[in-house]
Amino acid sequence: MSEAVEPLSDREFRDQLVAIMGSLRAFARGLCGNREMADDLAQDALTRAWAARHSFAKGTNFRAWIFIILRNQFYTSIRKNSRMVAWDPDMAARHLIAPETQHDGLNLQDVEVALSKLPAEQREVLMLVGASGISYEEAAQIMGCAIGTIKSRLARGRMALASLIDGPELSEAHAKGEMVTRSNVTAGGGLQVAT
Amino acid sequence: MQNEQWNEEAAPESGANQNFAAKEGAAPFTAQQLSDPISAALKKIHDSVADEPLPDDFLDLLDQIDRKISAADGEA
Repeated sequence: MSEAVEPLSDREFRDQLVAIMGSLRAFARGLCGNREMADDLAQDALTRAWAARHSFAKGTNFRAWIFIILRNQFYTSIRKNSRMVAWDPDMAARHLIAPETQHDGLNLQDVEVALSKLPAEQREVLMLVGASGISYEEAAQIMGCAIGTIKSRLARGRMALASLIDGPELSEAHAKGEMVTRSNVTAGGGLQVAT
Repeated sequence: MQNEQWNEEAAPESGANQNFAAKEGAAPFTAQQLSDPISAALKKIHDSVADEPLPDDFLDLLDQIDRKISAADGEA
């Protein structure tokens, strides 16, 4: 059993797992929209990651590595089990966030419900890039697609989300306003939008 | 406002916001950018989950891992 990679020590690997747990749960919740199912997925990914720890190369991107494990598991599960295919908007409102969460912008539950109506690939890229602030490059690595695909899914996802939240009239301005402001961010940040 | 995610100048040592990948040299986000309502809501949703206390199952898994590490240390 020889592997070309230099693995982390078990202790280092354990610390990486601890550090990623919150983000992993959030990504899982965004993918499947159900608290229990998301935590099952995240726990499964953590277990699988630990079992495969010797195949993780020291110095490479741990977050991308474990997110890929979780994502593969999610898509495998929904292929096997049609009950996991669709987000249930009512479940989304009940399960995703604590109802008492206040926010001085959009109503978060409205956003949750709108998210639940999007295609999985748009929801996923919104959660990765929009919500987690993961770069296009890393999102492309996680989703196994081209950076251009990430950008177009993000743009379509934002437009669809705005349309669901605002109604079609306001949504274009919302989405366009976003593009204008984002493009002011210089290279180096995780959230920059290339024009 | 929700600008605590971006006040890196105020807390340059923190490094706690690596999820946002705001690297050194990135321009600070302006009030206008922070006020983009969709981005702000998505970040809030993400953070509200990421900051939830871990369920017992996760802590149990960590305990198992810690026991394995301790046992391996004992053998060494």
